[in-house]
Amino acid sequence: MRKIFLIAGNGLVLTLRDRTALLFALLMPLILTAILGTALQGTMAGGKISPASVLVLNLDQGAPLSPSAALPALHFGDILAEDVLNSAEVRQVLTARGVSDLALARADVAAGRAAAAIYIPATFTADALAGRKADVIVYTDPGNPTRGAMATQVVRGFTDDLTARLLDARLAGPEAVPGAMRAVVPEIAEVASGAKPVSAMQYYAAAMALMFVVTTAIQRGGKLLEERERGTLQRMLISPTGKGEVVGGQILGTALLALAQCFVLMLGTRLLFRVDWGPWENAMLLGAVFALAASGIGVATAAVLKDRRAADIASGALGNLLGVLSGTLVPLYAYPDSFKLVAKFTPNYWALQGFLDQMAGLGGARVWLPAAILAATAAMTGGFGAWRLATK
Amino acid sequence: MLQVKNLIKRFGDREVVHGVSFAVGKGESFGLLGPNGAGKSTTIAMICGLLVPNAGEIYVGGVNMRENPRAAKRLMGVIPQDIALYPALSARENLNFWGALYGLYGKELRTRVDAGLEIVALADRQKERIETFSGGMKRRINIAASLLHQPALLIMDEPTAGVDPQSRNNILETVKRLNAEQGLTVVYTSHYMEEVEYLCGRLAILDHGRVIAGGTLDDVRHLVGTDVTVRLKVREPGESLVAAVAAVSGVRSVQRESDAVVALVDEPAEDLPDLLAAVRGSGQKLLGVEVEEPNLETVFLHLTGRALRD
Repeated sequence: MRKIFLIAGNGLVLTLRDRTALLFALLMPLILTAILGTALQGTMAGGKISPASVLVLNLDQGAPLSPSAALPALHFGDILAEDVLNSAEVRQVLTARGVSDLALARADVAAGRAAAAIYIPATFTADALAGRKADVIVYTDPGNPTRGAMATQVVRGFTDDLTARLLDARLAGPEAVPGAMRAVVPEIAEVASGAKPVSAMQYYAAAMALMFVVTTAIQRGGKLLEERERGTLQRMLISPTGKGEVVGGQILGTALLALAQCFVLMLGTRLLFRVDWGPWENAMLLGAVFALAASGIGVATAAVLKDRRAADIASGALGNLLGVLSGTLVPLYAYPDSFKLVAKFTPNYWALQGFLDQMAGLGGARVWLPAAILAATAAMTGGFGAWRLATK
Repeated sequence: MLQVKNLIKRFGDREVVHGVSFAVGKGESFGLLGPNGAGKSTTIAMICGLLVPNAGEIYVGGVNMRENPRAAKRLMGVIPQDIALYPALSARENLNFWGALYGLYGKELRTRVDAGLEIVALADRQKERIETFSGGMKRRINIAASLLHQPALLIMDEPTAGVDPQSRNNILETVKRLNAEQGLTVVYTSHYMEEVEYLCGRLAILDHGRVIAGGTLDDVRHLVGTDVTVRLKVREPGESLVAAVAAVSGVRSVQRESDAVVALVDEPAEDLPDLLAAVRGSGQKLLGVEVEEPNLETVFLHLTGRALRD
């Protein structure tokens, strides 16, 4: 065990001596966070990149036009959810998706994964026809008012139109509708999601930290290949040091470096840009399991590559690919659904979503799923890398 | 101190070491000589535990390498062919790391590192990074790193490859001194026969993965007999000169070259005056004389038909 720490410590000292690599690992993500966080604040709020995702919870049970009339029941909620929100015109700006859990939908809005959540109550049609107050509730993120406004606009247009039509019906034949309907003006209750808005600076602080931690971890994994090229790996194996200790030392060194980098970047963005990472214990848990997952990827990559040069190329290519796929450069809501699905296969995605949830103040319970997925990624990639290196 | 028995190593279908055997006694300096590709480095890699032999056994100080590699490795110091150091660390930091891998810590490690730096005469440069050192200085730290745990057996795999003459002499003198003064057992591989002749009392010559000759230096040299080559350089070596040289008693054979007549003799000290007289008698002006005793190069040439450095 002592030798594992010795080899890991030696690797850390060597990394700290490499000033260029150190600047790249710590300074670049801070600079990019500052640039992107400042420059893209408007873009994140503007939502002009692609149709904004809107979540719809339609519980409307409909109601007959008149208890005495032998006509089929009306479903205003279905008209809004299926006809209006899925019309070709609206689909140019909004992509509606049905959901079954209001709390989850609100959380997605708070975390920036959806522009708005539209809640249609079970008694919406009945209340409208009966002249009672009938609300369609649109949950938007005050941090991204423009994106939410599109959904609000569409719903408001629908309710205005519905109001007008109901009034026309009343004027045409008051006997056709209940008398109480005269007072009906369906309203939109625009309510903030209740969660704290996530700023562009927060978003990019997390996204950049994650991308650079993976990149550095893959580079650090490549150090094992450099040790082999330099002959120091053979020299270690000539000494009374087992292969497992050498590989263990390299993995531990990579993990410690990833942990240190992750925490330094979190602390740095907190101090420099006042980034609120949410509750520290949750943020640190996420940072720790992500660092382990990143180091697992770094070791696994080193295990399948031939030389240091390949590892350098892989660190840039794979680090950027994982970053881009998971929404590091452009927020994920701007991506088509197929890309969003692919993103779920990257550790960056789960870590980023976990951080965004914590930044939005959605509570500690939402940290466990990403943490578990990242821990599993660390175990699988690290285990594979260790096995491959020890038997290589 | 070291016993190597019938080592065989295959890489895929290719067998690169075919049943190599030799033994090295305690305090001995043993040479493993052979051209590039002879199987020296593969044999050394198996002795060091870097490669596992397909067959055969290795005993270091009586410890079986296959059964107890850690104990066997503790007895060995290995100076690799390439400089295996961390350029970004200082000389002392490098030695600290390598010493710690052999289980040295605290005061003992400091003492051993100090001693190592003294042996290679680099104590005054200990705080400087390896990347600022010359090639020769790096080689010396490379040697010091292998001596920290006071091994009983020192294995040197072509340690002078690519080294300038001054550093080469320094390395050879250091090894000679360690062997003579501290009784360190040395296994020295090289394709430079003069290094092996300088350092080693016994040797084995490897070619194509087999030991083709072995024994003391004299034993091996005498494989080609004891004849000494005398090369008499003249401007125009004619038939009359060849005949005159052949007539000298003690001359076993004569060959004519473009600028010399070459004679093989038993006792050059006795025959040389007669050979010089034969040149004068032929009317030729003597331009130079070269006397060459049998050496490992000629042995290798004799055994394989190739030069060592081919």
